[in-house]
Amino acid sequence: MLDLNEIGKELKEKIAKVKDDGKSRSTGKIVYSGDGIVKIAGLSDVKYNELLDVRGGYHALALNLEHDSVGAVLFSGEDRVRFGDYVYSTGKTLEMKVGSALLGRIVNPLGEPLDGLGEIAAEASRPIEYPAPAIMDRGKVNKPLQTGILAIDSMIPIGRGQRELIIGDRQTGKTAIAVDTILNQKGENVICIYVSIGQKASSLAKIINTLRQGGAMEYTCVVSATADDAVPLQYIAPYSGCALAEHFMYQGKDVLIVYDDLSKHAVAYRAMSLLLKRPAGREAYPGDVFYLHSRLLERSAKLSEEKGGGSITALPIVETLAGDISAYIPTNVISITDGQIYLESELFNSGVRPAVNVGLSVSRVGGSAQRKAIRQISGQLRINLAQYRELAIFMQFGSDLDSETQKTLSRGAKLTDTLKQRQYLNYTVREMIVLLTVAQSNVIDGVPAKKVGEYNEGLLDYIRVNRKEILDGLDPDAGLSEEMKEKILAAAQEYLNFVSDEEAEGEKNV
Amino acid sequence: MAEEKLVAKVVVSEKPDDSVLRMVAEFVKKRGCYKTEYTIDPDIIGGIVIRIGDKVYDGSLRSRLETIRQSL
Repeated sequence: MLDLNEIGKELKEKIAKVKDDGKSRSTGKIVYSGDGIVKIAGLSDVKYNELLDVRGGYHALALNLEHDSVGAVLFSGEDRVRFGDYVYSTGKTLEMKVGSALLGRIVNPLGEPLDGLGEIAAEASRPIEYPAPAIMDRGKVNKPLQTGILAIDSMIPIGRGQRELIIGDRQTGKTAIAVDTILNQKGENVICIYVSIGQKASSLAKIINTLRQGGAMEYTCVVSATADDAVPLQYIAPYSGCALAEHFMYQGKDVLIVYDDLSKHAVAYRAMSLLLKRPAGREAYPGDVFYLHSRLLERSAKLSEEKGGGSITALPIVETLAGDISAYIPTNVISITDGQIYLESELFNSGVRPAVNVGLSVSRVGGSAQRKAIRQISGQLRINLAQYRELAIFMQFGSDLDSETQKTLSRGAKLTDTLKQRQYLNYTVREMIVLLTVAQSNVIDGVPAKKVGEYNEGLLDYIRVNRKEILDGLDPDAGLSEEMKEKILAAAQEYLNFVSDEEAEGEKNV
Repeated sequence: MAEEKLVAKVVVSEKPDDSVLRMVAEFVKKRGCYKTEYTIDPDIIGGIVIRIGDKVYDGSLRSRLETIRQSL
């Protein structure tokens, strides 16, 4: 039973808290409204990026301050506001609710809940636009952020505080990499923020489901502005997510933020700019579209120890059309970030998943943050793979090959197979060391060509059960000793013999 | 605009009495207005709204109720 007295008391308390400052407010009148854009006459002391109240309880954002009018974009109620309606200035810029109460929640870019789990008791709020950390406040990127994906952690390592772009055509597994990375942060003490910009609500629902099932929602907040949300909401979504991330970073925590995706963000900003009649530039984007993304990504940083040592690692996603990375937005974001993971649909369709193009993908700062043992054994990896690819192209001429070349080819193919990885199957650092050591040794020569993936999974299970001391004995931060290497290879050979025996047995029985 | 700035537009919910008129006159004079226009609008429920140029001093019951509604 609802206690009416209790509700009345609560209401009274709340009403007593409502402040009525009684101060004067600057007002204006709407002289034009259309496509979510309003022009306002008056509002003499409005500031750029100021939040405006429109009569009827709607909000707008002042973006164009002109000689005799103010151009603003409406967050809601574009079909309700009318010519002549009063608009009031608020003196505030946009703010996002922040705090640990947002973890596990799905919110819109203003911090309002979308998941029906009740009100969010946020501890504070932060302006969504905020200057990036100064040069002296920054520290060196020296801790790795493990994605759990072998191809990335070995060859394109990401450090905490880095900005690594994930770029590729549609349906190449860009989001999958980001989601896998979030799932892999379980127990790593990294807070994750997933910002969805202009995505289909159905795909977002799927992602949230995956995160829930993987137990990742406990340390994750989803900021959502889906395709049907107002364009201004899509425009502010990444900045809101970043404000939330900054809150944790300045508390000394490590944060991972995924912007999925920035090409849709640029499109939303283009729509707004064109409707505001700002001059159009290349591909009809406005002149400040570079600044749009640079000011966002500059806010990701690793703070120095004096500033608490927190970090924001950003994984922006950009979608290309037909693999064209020289289009406007891709080149912009490539030049802003500290490296990119380039995904190719050809690789994806030929079964190389994750479809990382190792030749075009780089990480400019992550190498120094890589765990020592991994760095030691993955140093030759890139070169080996490049050699293999060169040979593989040459082989297509169909000439007879000497045994040495054949060996290089089969090793290369097996190495490529080792780097294939199922979605949601994340490796720990120790498992990666085992796989990389085996893949670059003589043991792998004994594994049949098509069975590498199966062998690897079996090997890890075998070691987990029968040779636990190997995984326990590995120290990723120290170099990999010869002795340890021998032990790993011995176990791998043991398992290989075991598998071959079993197979021979099986054939006999048939 | 310049012309408008010198006229104070006052909205009240019912016919104001002398003391209110005096207070308004003083308030408006301080802000450099020489003329006051009164309108009666029961929609604001109670209180007073004074508009000078593009500044609005909103002391109406309606706006107060509105802020309470928004904060709940």
